[in-house]
Amino acid sequence: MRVLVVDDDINIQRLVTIHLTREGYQVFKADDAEEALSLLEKQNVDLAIVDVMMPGMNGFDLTKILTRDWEIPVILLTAKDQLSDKEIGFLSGSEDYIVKPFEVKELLFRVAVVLRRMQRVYDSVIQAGNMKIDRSSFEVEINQETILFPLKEFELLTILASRLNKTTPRSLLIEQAWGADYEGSEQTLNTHINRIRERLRKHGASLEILTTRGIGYRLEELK
Amino acid sequence: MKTLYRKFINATLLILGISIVIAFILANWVYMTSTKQKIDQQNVKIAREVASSLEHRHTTPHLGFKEYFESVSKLGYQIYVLSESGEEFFFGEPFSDKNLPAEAMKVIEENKIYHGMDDSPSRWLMMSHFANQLENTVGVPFIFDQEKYGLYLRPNNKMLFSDVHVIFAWFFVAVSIVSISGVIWLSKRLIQPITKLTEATREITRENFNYPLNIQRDDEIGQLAESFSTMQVQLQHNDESRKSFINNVSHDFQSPLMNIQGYAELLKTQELDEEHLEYVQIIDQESKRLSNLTKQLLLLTSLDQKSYPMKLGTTRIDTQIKETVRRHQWRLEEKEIEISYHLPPSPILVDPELIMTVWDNLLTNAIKYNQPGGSIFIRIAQNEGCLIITFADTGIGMTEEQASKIFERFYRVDAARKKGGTGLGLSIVKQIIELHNGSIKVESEIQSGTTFTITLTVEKQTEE
Repeated sequence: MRVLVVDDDINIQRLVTIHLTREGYQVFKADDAEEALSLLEKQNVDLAIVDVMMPGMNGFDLTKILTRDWEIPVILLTAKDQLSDKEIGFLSGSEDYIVKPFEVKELLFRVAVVLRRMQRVYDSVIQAGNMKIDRSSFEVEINQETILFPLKEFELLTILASRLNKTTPRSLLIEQAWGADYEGSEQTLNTHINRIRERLRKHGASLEILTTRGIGYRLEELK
Repeated sequence: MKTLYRKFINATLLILGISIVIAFILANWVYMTSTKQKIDQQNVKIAREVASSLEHRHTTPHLGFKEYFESVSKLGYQIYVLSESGEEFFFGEPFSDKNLPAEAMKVIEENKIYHGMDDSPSRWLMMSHFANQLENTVGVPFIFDQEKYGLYLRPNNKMLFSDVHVIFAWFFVAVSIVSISGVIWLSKRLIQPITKLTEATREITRENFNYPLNIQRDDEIGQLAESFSTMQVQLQHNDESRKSFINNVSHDFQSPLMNIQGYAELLKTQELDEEHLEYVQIIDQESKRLSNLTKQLLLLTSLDQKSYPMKLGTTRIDTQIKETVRRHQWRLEEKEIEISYHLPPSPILVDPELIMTVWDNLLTNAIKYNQPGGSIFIRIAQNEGCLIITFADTGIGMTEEQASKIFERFYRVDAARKKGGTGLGLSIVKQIIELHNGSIKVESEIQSGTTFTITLTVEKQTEE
């Protein structure tokens, strides 16, 4: 994944770059809108992180160009925690905004969410039993109550729900949630599945996750 | 605006009425004290001349005096002649009341002049001057053909109300009409700029400083308009500098703080010995606190201005809360806190910016003081024109004594001290909720959790 960072504050630019690189993203830096646009002429990116207050063209105008002409999702960085700013931000087409000072972990989370959202446009709502999964808002609704599952658990539940009553192999689950090159133990998957079971029970879902010994898991409606 | 206009006209009419009454009383007093006597004496003089010219006439007595009095009456007098023997004669316009007091008899009996115009005690208004009564005459004696007579006369009312008087009356009516309509016109002109100024003041409270006045006058209102315009410019200037100050504080403070925080966090991931790690953590925490404190103090200073200009708008608070949750989702995941909510669509008239701060503060607290693996539940319940919003967490909780103080400014429970709380968040929340005429309650049990309950009325609030 390639991420473009546009900020006139060199220190913030560097900070964001360090963390994104550590997470395995390929980072391109630009000090202002002009540099960003000329960089895009030769380089494709999947996501742009843009500061609102910049000399020359401001972040809102740059966002308009990026989303309209280049179809690149944008996360805006703003120092003003004011609604009017957020509104302008969304009107100019940004996917998300983060208020400074933010914690780097927050930024990483948002980047992951936006990238995931970009990847799936198909089939955004899945219904299984009394549970409804909204893949665009990452919401799970059971008995008119909405629960936000942690991202990994959400991924796992989505796969299981989309293959209702069918067994999903462990390897497929791990690949979908953690990526193909995941090297952690299979115990982690068990822990996550157990947490999902607990949550489904707690919120009164008419579903349960059953283990198919030696193969994987399947989601079934309670009789 | 209409009342002032009406007041002007009412006042004018009242002044007119009062001045008529006072003028009448004064005129009456002058009439009673001097004019009445003068008129009486004038009439006595006329009566005497009439009588004496009859006495000295060299006509033959058998022709009588009728013809003579007839001709005198035509000059505009009402005449009554009474002989010693009780014979009565009337000339000219008839009297409406022909009673004569005993006093009048003395004219014949004692040769005493009758001052009916001056003396009558029952007449204390100058209207009585025009009373068409026999009583209201002057009487003089005369002798004709060896017989004593009394001559009683008064000027005919028609003579008193001459054409000149009618012209004067019309003149008076014209003056009143002109002055009343003048007052109406003047008050309209006077009130128009005042209405404009009121409108401009209203615009200022809505932060519009460019309302055009267009009042060109050299009187006091003109001066007021001029200083008002100056004030508009000054206010606009103040407002702009206040806003730019807030912007600067947000941007120019937060960016360096962001860097301090970010790089301190980077250091934390290095291999550090315990002591150095602790130092880095302190830098990290304190920079977070400073950044929160700047934001909250800015908000608090604007809230403290006596009438915070609320920018009310219909707001979906359910989407606002979802939005807030989304912004904190990374932290929830990090602390393995489960969040669930029941948020039906709930539009309500509030200041969206302020109320967003409430959700943010409550959620931040619910996360900050939760236990790892805990949960948070948010609910909006609609109930008889009210929205009841609850934030329940399974956190560390508080004692009753602590819970009673958390809305006080700068009060922090020990846990908050350790977690870098500013002690301002909840007092801001309370202030904002109260600005919206709502209420906030807290229920807490130590080691098991805290629930905040906010009640907001949905009924349409007016903008004032």
